Formats: sequence, structure tokens, C-alpha cells
Amino acid sequence: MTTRFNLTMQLSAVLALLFWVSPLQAGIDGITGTNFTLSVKTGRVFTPDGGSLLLWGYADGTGPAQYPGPTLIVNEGDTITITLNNALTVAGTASAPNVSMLFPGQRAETSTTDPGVPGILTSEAAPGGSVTYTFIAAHPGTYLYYSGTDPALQVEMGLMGAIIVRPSNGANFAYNHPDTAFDREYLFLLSEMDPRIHEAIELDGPQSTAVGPYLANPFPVVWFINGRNAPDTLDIPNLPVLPNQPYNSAPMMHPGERVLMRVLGGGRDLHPFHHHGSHARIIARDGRLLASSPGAGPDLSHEVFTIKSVPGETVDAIFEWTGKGLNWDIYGTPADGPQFVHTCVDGNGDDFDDTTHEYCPDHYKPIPVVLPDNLDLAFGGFYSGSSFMGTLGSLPPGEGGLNPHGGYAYMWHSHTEKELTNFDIFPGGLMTMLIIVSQGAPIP
Amino acid sequence: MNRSISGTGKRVGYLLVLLLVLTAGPALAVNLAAVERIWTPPDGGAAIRMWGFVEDPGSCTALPNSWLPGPTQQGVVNGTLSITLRNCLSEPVSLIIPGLETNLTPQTFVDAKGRTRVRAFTHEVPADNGTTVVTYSWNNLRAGTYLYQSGSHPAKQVPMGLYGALTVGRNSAAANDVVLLFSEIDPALHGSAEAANTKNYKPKYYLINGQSALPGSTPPVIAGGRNQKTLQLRFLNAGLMTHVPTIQGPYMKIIAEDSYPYPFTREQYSVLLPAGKTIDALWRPDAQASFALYDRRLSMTTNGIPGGGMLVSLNVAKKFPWILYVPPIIHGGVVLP
Amino acid sequence: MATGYHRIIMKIVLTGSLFFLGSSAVQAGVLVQCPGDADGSATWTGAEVQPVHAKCMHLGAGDGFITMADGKLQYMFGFSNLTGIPANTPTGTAEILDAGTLAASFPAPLIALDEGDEFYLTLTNIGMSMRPDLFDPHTVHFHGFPQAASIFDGLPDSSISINMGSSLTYYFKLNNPGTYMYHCHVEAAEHMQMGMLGSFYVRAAQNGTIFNYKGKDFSLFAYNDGDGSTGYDREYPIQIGSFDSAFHDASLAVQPLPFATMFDNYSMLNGRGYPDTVNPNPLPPPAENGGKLSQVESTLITASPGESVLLRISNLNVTKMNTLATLGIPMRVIGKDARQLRGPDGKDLYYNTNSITLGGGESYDVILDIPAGDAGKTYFLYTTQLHYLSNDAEQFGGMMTEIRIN
Repeated sequence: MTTRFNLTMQLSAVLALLFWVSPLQAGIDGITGTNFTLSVKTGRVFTPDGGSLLLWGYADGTGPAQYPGPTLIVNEGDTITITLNNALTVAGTASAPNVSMLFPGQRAETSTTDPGVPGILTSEAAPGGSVTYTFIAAHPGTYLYYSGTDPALQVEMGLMGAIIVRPSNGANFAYNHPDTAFDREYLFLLSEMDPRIHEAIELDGPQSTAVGPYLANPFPVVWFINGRNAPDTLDIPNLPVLPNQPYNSAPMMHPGERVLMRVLGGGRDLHPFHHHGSHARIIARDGRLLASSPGAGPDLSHEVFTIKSVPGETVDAIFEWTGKGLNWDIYGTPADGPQFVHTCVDGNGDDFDDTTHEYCPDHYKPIPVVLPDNLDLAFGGFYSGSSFMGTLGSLPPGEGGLNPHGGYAYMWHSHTEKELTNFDIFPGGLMTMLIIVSQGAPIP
Repeated sequence: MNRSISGTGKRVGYLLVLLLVLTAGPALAVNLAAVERIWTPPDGGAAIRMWGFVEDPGSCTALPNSWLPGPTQQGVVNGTLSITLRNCLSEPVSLIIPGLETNLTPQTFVDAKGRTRVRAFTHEVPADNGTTVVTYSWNNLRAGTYLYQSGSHPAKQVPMGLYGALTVGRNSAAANDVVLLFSEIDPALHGSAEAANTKNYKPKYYLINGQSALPGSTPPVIAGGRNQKTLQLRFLNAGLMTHVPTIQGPYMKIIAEDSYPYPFTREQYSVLLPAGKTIDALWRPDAQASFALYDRRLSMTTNGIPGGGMLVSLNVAKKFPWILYVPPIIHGGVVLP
Repeated sequence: MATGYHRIIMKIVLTGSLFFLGSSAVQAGVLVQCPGDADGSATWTGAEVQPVHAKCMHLGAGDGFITMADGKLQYMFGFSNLTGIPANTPTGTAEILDAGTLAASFPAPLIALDEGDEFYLTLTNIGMSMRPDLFDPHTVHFHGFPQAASIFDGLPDSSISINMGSSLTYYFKLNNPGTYMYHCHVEAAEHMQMGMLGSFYVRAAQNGTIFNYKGKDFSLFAYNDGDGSTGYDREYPIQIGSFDSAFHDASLAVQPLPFATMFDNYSMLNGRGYPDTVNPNPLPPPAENGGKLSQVESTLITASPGESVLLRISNLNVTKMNTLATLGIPMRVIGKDARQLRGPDGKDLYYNTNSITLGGGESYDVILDIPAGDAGKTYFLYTTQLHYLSNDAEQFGGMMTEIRIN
């Protein structure tokens, strides 16, 4: 073991006070209620290289277009009414296209008082016009909405978003069964864009003749979680420099917690979403529990280390992590320094400390190998400088720094690694980091 | 696909299927020919040279001109199937049915480095202008939904159009069934496919049952059984790309994959349908209405024009609750209301 | 949700210092850590005593060459197996660097271990001989390892990676059987496209006990099923992969790497396209790597009538999902992502199928139950993405192999 300087948890707490100015409530960003007014407008999707793409996005009322559209968070049993205004403007001489919304998994109807105009898949809002849909949020779960008008073009242009229906069991359940309880939840709405399509539409509008071959065989080169490319995924929500991409993707958790992953295929490609750290248990697809019979709970659930995300489908999965069974103490041993003295108190007999969720059978087992000298190593920005949870170690100047609580950081990303790029630049794309911080370290 | 089946199994009715399930299976004998045909795109694009399976006209003259997927065959559970194939193409062809076990007799060649390679998964019909016919047979048909397709140079011959659907029986919970065969056409490989690098496959036409919806027009109509009557949806992907059939309406109950029943069913509004896959689902329409069915991979273009492609309308007829159920006449797996 | 914390991260990210913050390539020598092994060979010889459950392996990370099935010579990055060479001796570093130079193999050396093992995996960064301009560090990401600690996760962003000329020893206690995979995670889109990919599986602790399943006794099992339902007679690791030769050629020529246009033109199983997949022997070594064997894994599957064959299928393709099908015999899918397909209260979710579809980073365990009467038959394992049945432009190749029943 090389000599290292370990900051204490107390110092981490000080850092926390410095960094977390105003902790917000945990959850998924979105808009709640039973009556929504959305508008389709243009906007810009900004990519980390400084470029931007033309966006057709759903906006919350008079707000800016969003990619993805506003996440609609509603309650089971409510009757949901959504009025869609078509405020889209386009280049060229042709008029703006009609727009619409499909609600797979819901039985949406068109309002008789605001019927819009007939379309092939659903009723549509003509340019300058509107259409109103209603549906009963009959089943809890994770759902998508997206344009039903020329979807090959309009979904690509950005017209998609998520719906969360909260169960009557309560806000910390995914479905009406105790096995679907969670401590934290995060949205992972996956998508991609082919810039050629956006450039052609920006130049010539919907009558672009250049766009056809691209729509027939798209070749995306930018990939998104919740409408952002890494590393913007990790930034704060509602960032002024990303006016049309309000949502981030920055999951955090404590050991022993249950994290609900709501994974949605918003684009047109499949993505193998690999979550480093541990397995996750898939409990539902398309908003339906994997249950052998009603009320059985997720008895047909199974664990995966990569979630196969299918376009238009949704997956709910429960992720848990404790470090169980590593055969060394992730909180260090007294031999590593006096600051690592700690107890493992398992009062309830579940093998875990009742507070920290340390796995007690591994308590005070030393890490079995010696790490190389710092000179032999390259360091990641999310490396704390220490092998141990909740600890900051010394690093050469300029190294690390993104992990002020000494947490364990895990990449959650498309395992089609090509998709970890933005316009030819690695790293980026469909990627974020889960950070697991020790009990006591605050999570906003 | 709205075409009649051929052979002695013609018009095997639902009642007959039921009666024969428990007995030694009857024989379905079919005569097909592999022929060159033309597919005319709905957008007015240039006609595309295709290869397809057709009911055997008895020789290689007087062939029908317009391409469709091969005629849907309807086998009987536990029965036998034999297909006698005539070859009117310029190269050897063969016929395989993935998922139905039979004796494969692979055909090989030795390459310039002395390595033996399989060029056909089973025995072939020579390219002799239709002189020779060869019979392929299968026993103990399992209930389900199958693709039949060329087993010779499949990277070329399958996308050229040599595929069709085989259905065996019908789920006992379903009153009707419908074939939904997804496929694609890349015109670039149909000119002189011999020289093409198949890696560059980029389809321009996306088809369900041989039809690509015309953008801006009413989608092709497929009869979708009756209101309140469970319909067996038979999804098949003869294309090389993954598709995600999505239904706008009640959830489907996904019951089987490649004609193997799942141990537990699951409810979804969409189906992952990779290349070569078949999926059976039960779907109970709750209205006398048209329900859209489309590919959520958004292969909803016709030669690049959005609004077409893999999009059909499942038309559900009204329920007839007051009379005894009468098996419908089945044309190519499509139930006519 | 909003955190000032992430805001800080962003500022650092946007100034370009997130990944592989500059580190000097000081060569401090090779060091193998393997309990009971004095000379650093990662094996136990002479007076050395192997502790109970200890397993060791020494991998080198570097570059090399392989031959595609159409004859094209392909430059690659990859791992080599340096186990058996004493590394912790006065001449050890020189011997290791010599053995590891241009020794990359495709796929990477197979790692097959047993549940309960304590695995000491030493990675030595040999460096890329054909790219002396590169000073890339390397890692091993044990993909799918449950309850991972980030220090041993091989993710360079969240931990450490090893510089040229030095060694890093990873430690894994193997508590869970199943089919995993491993790869370098440094600059993943590049190093993985370049070939730093291998199979990794863990056999079940239940092995050795006898369970009778459907009239047959088994002593080998994919999982601790308690009923023999994952029993098998033979096992074959099969890793799906594919290369974009333009990317590899650009790397060799020290040209800008075409990430955006990455488009694989060679589809492979265990590092070979058909018909090389059915060659039971190592492929002849290319002269360009000094004659080192670089493609040793055959994918010819052989079995006898009545046997159950476990295929441990993983995918490390970095550009596409793949569908792998059997023709002539069904797949019985019994595991996914190193987990038995069984619900939390014991319901078996096994299912039969003709094909599985998996993206990069997914694995499936499937069993082929060979009928008793099938002697002499040949089945096929091939992709139904039929356009990938080619080696670049050469037809009758690509992602396919044969299953021969003798």
C-alpha cells in the first residue's frame, strides 16, 4: 500500500456544505397535474462540442421547446387532459407540418370540443391550431409519448417525452406492490440523432428532398440520455446555456438503497444500457409488472447487467449496491490508518451494519493487493485517490477532483461504445456516472 | 398476402385443425417455384427485380409478374409438410424452415485456400430452367408461426425476396389469426446482386405482407378479426434489420417466440422482432375499429418519404355474439370479416 | 436533480480535464502479485504453494496483428497471456516485455474460473509497438462483476489505469457463477474497436454433485440450480465481435480515427470469420507480429448425440446489436447476464428459441440438447442479419460456425 493522505468524513462533510448550496428534493424532474398544455416549437439541441441541431420539441405551455418533451408525472386513476398547440415554424415555402401525440400504453381519445384534424395515426394539430387528448392513467408505470405524425421524421426531430404514472400505493413505489418500493428513482430516456436530417430540415424545411435517404437509413452520430450528451448529462438541470435541454442524468445513491431505473427507448435504435456496479432487477416492461398473475408482484423479474433498451419500450429496474462479498473492507482497516477505525453493527442479523450497510462478514479484512505507485498510474477525474469508500486520497496536482465525497463512481452507458462519442469526439454520448457515497454523505 | 394457399392442405378449416390435433397428422403437400418477378414500389419508383416463391405453375414459362412474399402455407399440428420446389432462377436454390427440425444436407465448396465452406444449408434444386424438382419435407409440425426461406446463399437470396410464412394450428384461445410478415428491399442489391457487398445493405422499402404504406395515404388494411374476439397476431421478420411492431390499442399478450411457447406470458404494446424471428401474440380488440400497427424502429418511410413504410391498419369487424361461431374462410392467413 | 456538486464537475469537464488527466509514463517495472508465488509467474512451481481458492493470471496489454478470413492482415490492440513467465526476477521485466510485444490475441485469452475462487489478475502495459507515439494506459474491466468496487472496476474515469511498462493487480472474489466478459475500458470506443475483448466465465459451485434432470445425470451446471436444469456435458464460450478495418488501418497509419463513420465490415465469432471459425486449430501466425499465435480460439462446436452443450454467448460488438441463431436445433435459454433465468420466488423463466439478440455487454447462456438420433448431423450457429454472413465483400463467411454431431 502506498502512502497516502486520507481526508476524513468530516472534511467531506465540509466539502458538502461548500458544494451543495441548496439541496433540492430527490426525484425525477417533470411537470405534475391532470391538465397539461403543450406546444410544439423549434429550439436548439446543444452538443458538447459547441454545435447545435435544429429541434422540434414539445414545450410546457409558453416555455421553450424541450428535448425530451416535459416529463408528465401523473397519478394512477386520474383523467389526464393534454392540449397540444402547433406553434412550429419551418424554413422554405411549405407550411409547417401538422403535429400530434401518441400515448402507447394509454387509451387516448380526442376531445370532441378540440378535435384537431384527422391524421393517419391520431388526430393532429394543424399549424397554428390545436388538438386535445384525454386518457385515464389507469395503470401505474413508465411510459413514452411521441409524435404520431410522420414519426420517422418528427421523432427524429425531437418530438418525444416520458410519462410517469404513480401508483396509488404512494410515490415511493413503482407499482402497487411492496416489492416495487424504491428509495430513489432516475429517468434514463435514451435517444440519438442524425445531424444530416436536422441540417436538411433547417435549410429547406419539410419539403427538403435531401432528407429522404437519411430518413430511410439514418446514421446517427450523437446519442443522448434525457436529451443531453455526456458530459452535459452530469450538469445541473435547467442550465441557461442549454435552454432546450432542461433535464440532466446524474444518479447518486447510498449503499443499501434501492434505486428505480426508468429506462425508455425514445429514439429509433436499440441501446444496450450497461450499468457498472452491479446487476439490476427488471421488474416491468411497457408499464406492466412482470407478474405471473395479478397481485403476484414481480415474480417473473430477473437480474441483468445490461438493459436492452428497445425503441418505444420502457423498462423499470431496481438497482442495489452494498459491496457485499468483495472479501475486503471497503471502509478500510485500522492498518490503513487511524481514521479507518469503524464498527460494523449488525443488530438485525441481515449481515449488514444497521446504519452504514457495510457487509459485516468482510469487516476489517484488508485489501488483498498493493496498488502501484502513483507514478505508474493514470487517474480518472472521478477517482477519489483512495480504494476506500468515503475517503479522499492524495493525488498529483490536477488529478481527480470530481468526487469530493470519496464515493465510488460507476459509468452507466451504452455498451455500443461507438455511442460514447459526440460528432466523432470521444468521450461523450450516451453516458453518465452513478456515484455511490457512504451513508452520511448528503445526496440532494 | 391476400392469396390462397395451395396443395392438399388448401382451406384447412379451424374445425378440421381441432379434430386432427389428436390424431396422426395429415400431410400438407405444396408445390412451389422460385421465380424472378417484379415489385413496383407504391411511390412510383422504378420497378425492382425480385426473386420469390410462387405456387408452381408447372414450368418456367407463363410466370406471374408481380412479386409478393411466398404464399402462406397452413400446416396442421403434428402433421407433415412437404414442399416440392421448382427452380426458375439462374442459380441453385433451396428451402429451409428455421425452427422445424429436419435432416439438413449442407452443400459445400472448397475455396482458393482449400477451406470448405457451406454455400447452402441443405440440398438444392439446380438452376436448370425448371427441369428438376426437389422435395423438402418436415414431420410432426409444432403449432406456431414459421418463416420458410431460401437456404442457399442466404445473404443474397433471402433479401432478394425468397421467403414466406408457414402457420401451424392456432392458439386455442384465439378465434382468428393474422400473418404480419415484415421485410425490406434494398434496390441497390437487386440490379446485379452477384457483385454486391451485402455489408452495405441499406433498405429503401419497408414492407408488411409485401406492402409498403404510401406516405400520406390510408395505410394498407389487414383484417383484424372481430371485436371482443381474441386474435392471434403472427409476427415474422424476413428482413435483415430489427423491427419493433407496435400496436395502438389494447396490450398484446406475448405467448411464443419462434413457435416455442413462453413459460409465462407478458403484456406489452410492442414486440422486439429481430431478423429471422417469429413472435406469436394474443390480442383482444375492444372496439369495432381500425387499429394502427407500425414499426417503432420508425422504418415508416417509403423510399425515404416519411409517413409510409411499415404501417398497416388492423380492421376489426363487429362482434356477432348472437350466433354460433363459424370458422371464417382463410385466405393466406388473413381472416376476412 | 440539481447539485452544485455536478456543476463543479462540469466546470472541470468543460476545461477538458475529465479523462486520463495527464500522467507521466514513468516505467517502474513489472510486478506480479500472486499469493504463494515467489517468482511472479502467476503459477505455483517447485516449492511454491497455491493457497486454497487462489487463482492467478498475468495479462499483457499491447498491440499485434491477426488475419481476417478473407486474408486481410489486421492491426489491433489486445491482450496477451503472460502467465508462466517469472516476472519478479532480475530479468523478469525484460522477459515479460519481450513476450508481450506484438503478442495481442483476438479474442483476448479466455478466463475460466470457479465460483469461490480468489482471482489475482495482473495487467502489465506492454505498450503499442507499432504506435510509439501512443502512451495509452490500459485496464481490465471485469464486465458484469456484481457488487464491484470502483478501484478494481477498470473504469479509468473512476479509478486507476496502468501506464506503460508497469503492472496493476486486480483482485476479485468470485461469488457468482455465470458468463461475463472482459475488456479494456480506456478510451473504450477506440480500445474496444481495436480488439481488447475477451470471454470470462465462472463455473458454478454446484459442479461435482449429481443431479438428475429429465432422466439424465449431470455433474456440471451453469448455475447453482438445485435441480440439474442447467446441467451440461460440454461448454463453449462464444464471443460476438466485429471490426471496422478502416478504423484499424487508420490506427496503424497514425491517422485520425473515424469514430463517427465507424462501420464494421468483418463480423466474427471468437475473433474469426467463417470458415476460419470451424478450423479447430490456431490460425497460422502472421509474419508481421514475429510469428506469434494470435487467433487460437476455434468456434467449431462438436458434441455427441444425447449430450447437452452449454453455449456461453457474449457480445462485445461496439457498433451494433447482433442476432445469433441456431439452425437444426433449438436453443434452451437458461441464463442472461450471468444470472440464472429464474424469478425471485423460484419460477423458472427458461425458454426455447431459435435465436437470441444481444448488444454489446450482454450475455446469454443457452443449452443445446442434442437428440439421441442425431449422429452425423450438422447444425449451424449463424447470424440472421444475413448481410453479416460475409468477410468484408467476400461472401459465404462472417458470423457463422458449425455444430457437428459425431
